[in-house]
Amino acid sequence: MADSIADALLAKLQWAVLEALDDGRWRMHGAAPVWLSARTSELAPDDLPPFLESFLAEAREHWSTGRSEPLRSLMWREVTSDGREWPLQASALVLGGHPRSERRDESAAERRAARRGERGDERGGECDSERHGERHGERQDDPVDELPGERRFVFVEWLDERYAELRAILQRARATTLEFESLHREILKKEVLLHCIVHDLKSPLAGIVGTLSLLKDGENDPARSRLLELALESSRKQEVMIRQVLDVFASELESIQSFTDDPKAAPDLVECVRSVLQVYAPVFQRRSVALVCRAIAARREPLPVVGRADRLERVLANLLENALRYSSSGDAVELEFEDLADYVELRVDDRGPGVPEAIRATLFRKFVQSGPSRGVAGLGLFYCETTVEQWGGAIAYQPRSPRGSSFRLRLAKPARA
Amino acid sequence: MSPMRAKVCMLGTFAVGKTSLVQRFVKSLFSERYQTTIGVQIDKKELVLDGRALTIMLWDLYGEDEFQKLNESFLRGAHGCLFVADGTRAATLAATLELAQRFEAVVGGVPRLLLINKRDLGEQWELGDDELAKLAASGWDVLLTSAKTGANVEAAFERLGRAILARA
Repeated sequence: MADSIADALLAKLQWAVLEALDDGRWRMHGAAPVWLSARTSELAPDDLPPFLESFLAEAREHWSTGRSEPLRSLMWREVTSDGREWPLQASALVLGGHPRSERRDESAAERRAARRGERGDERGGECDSERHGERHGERQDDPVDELPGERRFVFVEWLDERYAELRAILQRARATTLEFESLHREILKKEVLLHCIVHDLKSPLAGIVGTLSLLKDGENDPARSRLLELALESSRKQEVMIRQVLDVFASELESIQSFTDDPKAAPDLVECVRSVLQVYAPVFQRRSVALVCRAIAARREPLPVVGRADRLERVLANLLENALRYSSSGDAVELEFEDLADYVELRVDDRGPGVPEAIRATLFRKFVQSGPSRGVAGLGLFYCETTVEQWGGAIAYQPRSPRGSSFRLRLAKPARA
Repeated sequence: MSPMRAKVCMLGTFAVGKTSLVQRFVKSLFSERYQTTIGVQIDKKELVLDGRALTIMLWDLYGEDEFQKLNESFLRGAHGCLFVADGTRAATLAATLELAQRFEAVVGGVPRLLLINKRDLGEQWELGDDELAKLAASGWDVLLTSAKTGANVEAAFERLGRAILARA
């Protein structure tokens, strides 16, 4: 009767109970659960699913070291032929005998006899309630002492809802961690973008300040109206830029990551360079640094390249600012280009101290500065590289001999229509 | 002659794409939906490599994190291992390399490969060529994979399978 109830329970719970046999095989108690296709009740380890086979070996190893505390497996899943998944977990247990190692040398009968003897001596006899209490106490203390010999079992539980609950909790926790990581990266990108924008907002200001300073220095200069025009143009550029920041901040990242290869939309490099030179010429003049660009000045035809005019101007401005920052009065910064088959190479050369060898490998990473910070964020070259690479171009640094830096910008030409 | 049976572990931190790589390799399937693995999922794939049969038992172990720590006893008996990191999350590489050290302490020097997964997410890629060169210089056989497109997935399992057969 008891066996049939136990069997019915095992079948209902879809548990498997496997008992270790001395010959290395395993005896299945009760009917095999649905998830385990077993033809006989005595099974060799390799008749069992791989994970269970592995756990059974681990259980035998656990027992062979004399340990009797339960051993629990990882959770795993078996899939039946109907596609149903069965989440499972196994436990290895020792029943009967003397599972506690400190009692290994003492038989259960001897212990019971000893206890009865002690109590008999003290109390002079036993009443029914005492006997009941003793049996009750034995069950509480050592419920398996009554089983003949030591037997080793592996129980495999079907976890069902418990697995689903645990999975839902872990899924949620990990998804939250992933969302956090993703937001963190996004915030970092936005921060970089914000620095770039502030950097950009500063650039026309340099032109305005430079131009107005020259105006102040030479009130009767015949070039005054031209300088005023330049200052006004820089001011307008800055106004437009601030408006654009407000309009496009949300989509800025996306626009950095996209480019067009359409020849009709390709910006003219010559025009971009001239536009930037117009802004920066007064600043260079004020610092007494010559700005040499013979090839650009001589160029009559447009030179379309892949990219976007406003961002290309920003890249050029960053490179010119960099060159100026490390130039001394009397130095020259050269801006030249070479028109090659599939691309255009633009060079910005200066005679400054050059980039220290130690930071050359990381020069284009964000927040890297080659000299004293002088109020810059170390994002200019990072922005240049990120931008031109999005257009299929490249930027590289080369030291000049005997001193100076050469930044080479390679810009792809648009595909011919 | 019956084919050699090899236990191959998939190891890496969570959400790097271990299960997706296995699903791509075993069932040619891919799902965008992230489904965390609890415990272990074992899949089987039979291969014939250079005329030799090999049955790979793929142990897709849960990704380790603060919620689930790896139980190293389940690594024992492994014939090889595919370590997986996520190229769009650079921090997963360090965690995977740390797992590799623990794996080696338990299993010893069996064939292994490092897969940098999610190569299809180029715009989010965080690992530079210099980092990959450093890995190669330190003795790692590295493959950039995509469970989504299938890029290098079969090649990775086959390369590991060949190394296991060569050692057998």
